Amino acid sequence: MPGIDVIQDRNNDAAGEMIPGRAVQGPRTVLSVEKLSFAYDTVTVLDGIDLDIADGEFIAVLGPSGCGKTSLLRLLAGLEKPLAGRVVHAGKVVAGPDPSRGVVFQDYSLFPWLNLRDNLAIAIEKSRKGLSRGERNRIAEEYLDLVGLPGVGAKHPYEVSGGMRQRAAIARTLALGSPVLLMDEPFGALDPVNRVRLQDLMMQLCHSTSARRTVVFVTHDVEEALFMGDRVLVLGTNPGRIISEFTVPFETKRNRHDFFQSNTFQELEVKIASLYHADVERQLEESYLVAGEGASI
Amino acid sequence: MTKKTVHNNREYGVLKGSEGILFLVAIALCWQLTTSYVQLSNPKLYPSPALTWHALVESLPELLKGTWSSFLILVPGYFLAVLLGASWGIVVGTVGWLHRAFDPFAKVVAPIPPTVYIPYAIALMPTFRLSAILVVFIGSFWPVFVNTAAGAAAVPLRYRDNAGILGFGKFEYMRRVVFPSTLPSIFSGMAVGLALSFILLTVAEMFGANDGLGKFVQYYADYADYPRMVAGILYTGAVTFISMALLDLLKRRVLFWVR
Repeated sequence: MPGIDVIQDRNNDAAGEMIPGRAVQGPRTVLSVEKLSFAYDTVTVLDGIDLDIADGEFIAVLGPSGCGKTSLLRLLAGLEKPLAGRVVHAGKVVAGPDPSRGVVFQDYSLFPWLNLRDNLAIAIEKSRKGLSRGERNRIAEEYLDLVGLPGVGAKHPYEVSGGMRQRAAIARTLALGSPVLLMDEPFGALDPVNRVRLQDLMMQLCHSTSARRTVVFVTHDVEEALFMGDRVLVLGTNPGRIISEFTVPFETKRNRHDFFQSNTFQELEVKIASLYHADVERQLEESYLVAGEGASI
Repeated sequence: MTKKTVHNNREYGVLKGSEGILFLVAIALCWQLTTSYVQLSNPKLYPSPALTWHALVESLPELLKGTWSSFLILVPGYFLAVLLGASWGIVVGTVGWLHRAFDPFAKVVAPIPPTVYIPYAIALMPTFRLSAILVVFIGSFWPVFVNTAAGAAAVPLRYRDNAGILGFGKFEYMRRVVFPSTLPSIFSGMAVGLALSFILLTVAEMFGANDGLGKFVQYYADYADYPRMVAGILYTGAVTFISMALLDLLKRRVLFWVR
């Protein structure tokens, strides 16, 4: 497919200032988070997050609701400003959103007034200058084919299912040519069948050499995190911080069925479940203490 | 066991959905009956439907000419107001400091009833047509502007996020994101503006026009030709209704994506 197998190196266009003497942050680190804290009003959402993400790595961020995983993703994207610390992408401090970091949201990555083809064509217009309208449309259709949506380019987002919208959203991010893909519970609103299909599609895309991206994938589903992530970060709540991380090599999960039957998966699932419980229990104890002191909850 | 509701289809039968037309027929019947069997008032002041219809048919050429004359005022005034009100509204709604600068002024000036500008506009402009255009423009500008600015200031975060990720500049953001996402608000403003335009147009024409729908009604009222006057009122109502219906049709076509 002409036009589609080119991944542009857009790292050099990333917004933000150059950091003197820090052009490279260790081997292949493309995205790094340094002592990052974030608060809404007076509520601390994230506290002192440190994280290095290697080029081409698939990071799954796992955590219960309210742990700040969406905030972390928005900070990585540059859609929020940190309270303290910083995010560095390809040697530059992230100061705002940029096409070099594409984002797939849960259910609103597309403009509803544009059909699917035009939603993609906008991204193509941004990533490859000087193409004619016809060429952009042709490439848009190719990306739609790639995510399993042949011949639906003329449909509008409201005319297609949630699963198809998310496929198109992924295609748009690929068309944008972003080397870093940030995904915020992208399959959270889908039915189980579509969820599995899209997980497989992502795995296929991310582990094919031509479309390989660095991915940060936020989810609250343990299975999904373990199946998709090369590295799984577990976030704790109140305030959000990384409480644990696991490495799950891709080789162990080429086959979905075998992976879920494997001891590796089952042990990890139990471990993560107990981490979750410990965190919940800690919070419950804290709230009892607060209640015991006479404060209202 | 399901409870029987008042919205049971069988109770309405074939009449369901035609209530509006039935009501109009009932009104027309009442009109006919009161004029032919009850001497409510002076028959000259209260013409029968037949007499009014006759007057309408007879005056149709004059009314059509008047419509043309009225539209020569309405169309430029209204469309200029929509164009400037929507584009200025988008800019003011998007650019923070402009909003802070312009908003207090708008809050003071927008509520002034535009009819009070009519005498000054007539004095100010060289021709009556230009002064009426100015009044229609002022009257419809504010509803369009106020609605657009409010809509543009409230562009959903998800669109702003997507615009940022796509790397849109300020102008591109306004054109490709703020404008389409504000269209529902623009159309609300346009509907209010159009209704107001017809009011202003006819009032202005009663003041000093030589032609037009308002002038037609005023003229035959002055000569106590009430069948023609009533025909003029009904005709003006029909023109307004058709214009509003056309705007609504346009809105449905443009806003097909709004669910």
